[in-house]
Parts: sequence; structure tokens; C-alpha cells
Amino acid sequence: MSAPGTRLRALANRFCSRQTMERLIDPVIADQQHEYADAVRGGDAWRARWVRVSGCLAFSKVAVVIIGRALTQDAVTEDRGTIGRTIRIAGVATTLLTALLAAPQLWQQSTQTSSVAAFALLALYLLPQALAIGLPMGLVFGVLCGLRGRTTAPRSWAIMVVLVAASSIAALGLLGWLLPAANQAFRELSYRQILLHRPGADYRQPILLKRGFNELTITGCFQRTSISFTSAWRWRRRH
Amino acid sequence: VDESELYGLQLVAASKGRLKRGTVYVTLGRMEEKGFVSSRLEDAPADEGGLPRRIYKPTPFGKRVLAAYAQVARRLNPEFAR
Repeated sequence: MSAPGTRLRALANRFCSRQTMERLIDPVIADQQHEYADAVRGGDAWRARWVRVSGCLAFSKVAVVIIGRALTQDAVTEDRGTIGRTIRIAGVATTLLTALLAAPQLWQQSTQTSSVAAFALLALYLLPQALAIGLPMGLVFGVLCGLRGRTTAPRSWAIMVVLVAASSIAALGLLGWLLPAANQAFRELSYRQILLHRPGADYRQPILLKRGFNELTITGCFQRTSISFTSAWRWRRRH
Repeated sequence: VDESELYGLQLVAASKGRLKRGTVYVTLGRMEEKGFVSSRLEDAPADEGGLPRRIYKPTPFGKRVLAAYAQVARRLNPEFAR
């Protein structure tokens, strides 16, 4: 059996600089190996196991610190400019695309809404819908324009990948939960605005519109499709 | 701790829980960058496998900073002196 921490050290050696290895990784591994050797010499098997586990935990804490530092401080100055430029372009592109996509619907609603507050609410409810398309398109545009003709260090690529992954998770949350809720709120508010223009209609009543597929969250979609699937399966068994 | 050379786990033990084994080397690394401590690799015995441990000792500058900090802390918080 190899000494504890040998594999972790080999793994860290692939990604970390020599200084980081000497100052942070090697001391942790060395302590673990010496403590483990002491436990083995003393015949204390449980302590030896505990040293392995606690050594791995200590290593993971150091790894988190190193990754955090790499993401925030150690990027090359020129690369930081590239990353900043990419983020700026992506931000502007996303904002413009979102505004462009929401504008036609808002223009149409502007003639039907009764107050500025209702119009502002409708605009707010429209944002997730437009953002769901604007965010991925803006991000792609930002990456393509920001990195065009530039050589970037692997570390900066890693930062980009982390940023894009975080945006993807945000987009999933947006599409899966925020967008359906906003769609439903938009429908209910629009319906109330229509009622306002109808003489005799009681617009103060709470409006409860049945949710369509566009207004279902991911869990709601799963529930509905599983119900449909079960019904179809039962119908098929009967016939 | 003031004078002797200690490695990470000895510092963790000496700190009575103030330092954690996962973060002691990060702290020591930062202190070394600022010139408060210096380090060297220990001479590992030939029969033992494994990496040599890194041992740390305070620099004269680090000792002066500690003394100054302790003096200020004592004035601000008398409990610190006990």
C-alpha cells in the first residue's frame, strides 16, 4: 500500500505551481504521512485510519483555498483584462437582447394597461421569459467577441468554464422555476387588465387561471407527464 | 512557539484549538509571504519513507510585530494580558 496522500499529491502536482506544492500541499501530505507512520508503528489501526481521513479533509480544505485564490487573485493581468472584457460584452449583449425580446410584447401591453404600476409589473413578469433566450445568446456572443484573437492562459479558461457553468445553473433555475411563476403572474395580471375594460366585470375577484405547460415548473411537468403516462398505460391495458 | 522551530501539527496542538489542521499551512504560507515566519524542510531520517516536514520559526521582524501587537492588545483589552 502506498503512503497516504501520494495519489492526492500526484493529482495536485498536475495543477499547482511549484511554490504552491512546496508551501501548501507538501506540508499537509508530509504531516499526514508522519502521523500515519507513528500510528502504524504504535500498532493503533484505528488511529491510522483516522489519520488517513483527517488528512484527506485537511487536503480538501487547502485545495478549496488554492482554487479560490486561483480564481480571484492569481490570474495574469492581461488575462484579467480579457475576462473582464468578455463579461462586459456578455452583460451588454444579454441586456440588449432581453430588452429587444421584451419590447414588442410590452408595446402591445402598453395600450391595454390601466396604470404605470401595472405596466411596470408586466414588464417585470416578462423579463424572465426574455432573459431565458437573452442570457445564453448574450453569453455566447460575449465569449466569441471577448476572446477573439486573444491567447488566454489555461487558468483563464478555467475561470470562463466556471462562469459559464454558473450561468447555466442560473439559466436552469430561471427556466425551471422562475419563468413559469412569472408567466402565470403575467397571465393573471393581463386578464385582470382585460376585465378592467369590460363594463360590469368584477375585477376585484381573485383570478385563478389554470396553468398551461408554459406555466409549469420542472416538478409540475414531471407530475403532469407521469399522470398522462399512467392514464395512457391504463387505457391501453383496458383496450 | 516564540523561539523553537515547530511543524504544522505541533502548532495546531500548541494553539489549543485556535488553529485547524486544514488551514494552518494556508495561514503559515501567508505569514511567510509577509515575512513574519521563515521555514525550512526538516532533515528526514533515512529509514522513514514519506516527504520531509516543513518546520517554521518566527523571524526577528515577526517577533517585533507580535510584541507590538501584544502591547496594543494589552492596552485595548486587559483580559488579553492574563
